[in-house]
Amino acid sequence: MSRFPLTKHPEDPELQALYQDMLAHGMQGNEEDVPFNALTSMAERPDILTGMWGITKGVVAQGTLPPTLKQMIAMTIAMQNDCRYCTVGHTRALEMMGVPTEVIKSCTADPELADIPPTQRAILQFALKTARDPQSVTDDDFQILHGHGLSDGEIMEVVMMAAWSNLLNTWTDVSRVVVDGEEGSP
Amino acid sequence: MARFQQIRDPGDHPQLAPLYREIIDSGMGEDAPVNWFTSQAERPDILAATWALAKSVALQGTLPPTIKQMIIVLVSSYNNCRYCRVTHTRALEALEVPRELIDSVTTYLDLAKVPPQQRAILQFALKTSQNPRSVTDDDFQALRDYGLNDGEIIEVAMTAAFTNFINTWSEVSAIEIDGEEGT
Repeated sequence: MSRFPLTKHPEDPELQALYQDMLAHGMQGNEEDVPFNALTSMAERPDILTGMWGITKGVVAQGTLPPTLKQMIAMTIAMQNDCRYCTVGHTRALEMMGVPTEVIKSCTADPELADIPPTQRAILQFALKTARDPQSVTDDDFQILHGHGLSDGEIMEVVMMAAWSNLLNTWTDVSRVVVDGEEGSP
Repeated sequence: MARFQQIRDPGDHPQLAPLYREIIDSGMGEDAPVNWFTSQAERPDILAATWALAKSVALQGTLPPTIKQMIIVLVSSYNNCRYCRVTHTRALEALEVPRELIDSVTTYLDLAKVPPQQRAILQFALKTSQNPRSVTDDDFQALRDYGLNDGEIIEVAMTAAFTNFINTWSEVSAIEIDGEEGT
């Protein structure tokens, strides 16, 4: 049971505009015309939701790295943090993007990420380390990503995806937001 | 030595110049924004997004600036993030928070000198930042008993999550403390 009300159809014009922008960037939850619960659960504070949406739009919805890779980062970190809401949400996003089931399974079940191609695996390992213990990231870790052809700007995007995943996981865990589509279940 | 190029002078860059102006005008720098921001200048799109988050969660809002800065200093101290601990300790000093109160959240971490309501808020924030799933309904009730409403509790939780977020960037980017560059 969510600890904050899910405002699905706001009357406040500021929130309505914010929701429209979220929906225009593919942030639908279980219902076509409503953003996912991790966002609607913050509607009591439109000012903070505006900031949360700003970082989500800039780092997750936009950017230069492929959307599938970004969802894989978010998913593996959600697994690492044992955050059910985010694991389910990002698994669905990967399925909708047509990512093969064995790749998704490798992200969820295999710490070695064996079925992931080398460049993507290196990026995921860097992101996991960043999310778990940012002080442990070394110059060698940077060099590995440079070796796979990533620019500094792209590495920045990987780091921010990892930090954003922790941010979202923290919110969904502390708010106990219910998985989209499971609202009525006991 | 910072791992990303820091741009202090944005020139007339269409995205960076106005962004820098706004960051400086919000008190986050003097001639240039603080290193946390200039280290993201290579990606103005990402800087704009992190600034949107920082502005709404840390700089604006309804809770008093002192309690928010105390949350940031306490969580940064627990995360052992020197850049954020030093920077936000300076912010507490600028807000004229008494020394013994600052020491209580930065050095002793025992919150002994912190008044009860603020201590409850700090304990909630710390728990949120270290293990969000461990936060219980009783923890929520404790804040409500001190007069916080749901919106204010959202602000506490998001300030805690935001602190982890800024700590992560400071550590991975290995930025230097403002004023200590090159030492």
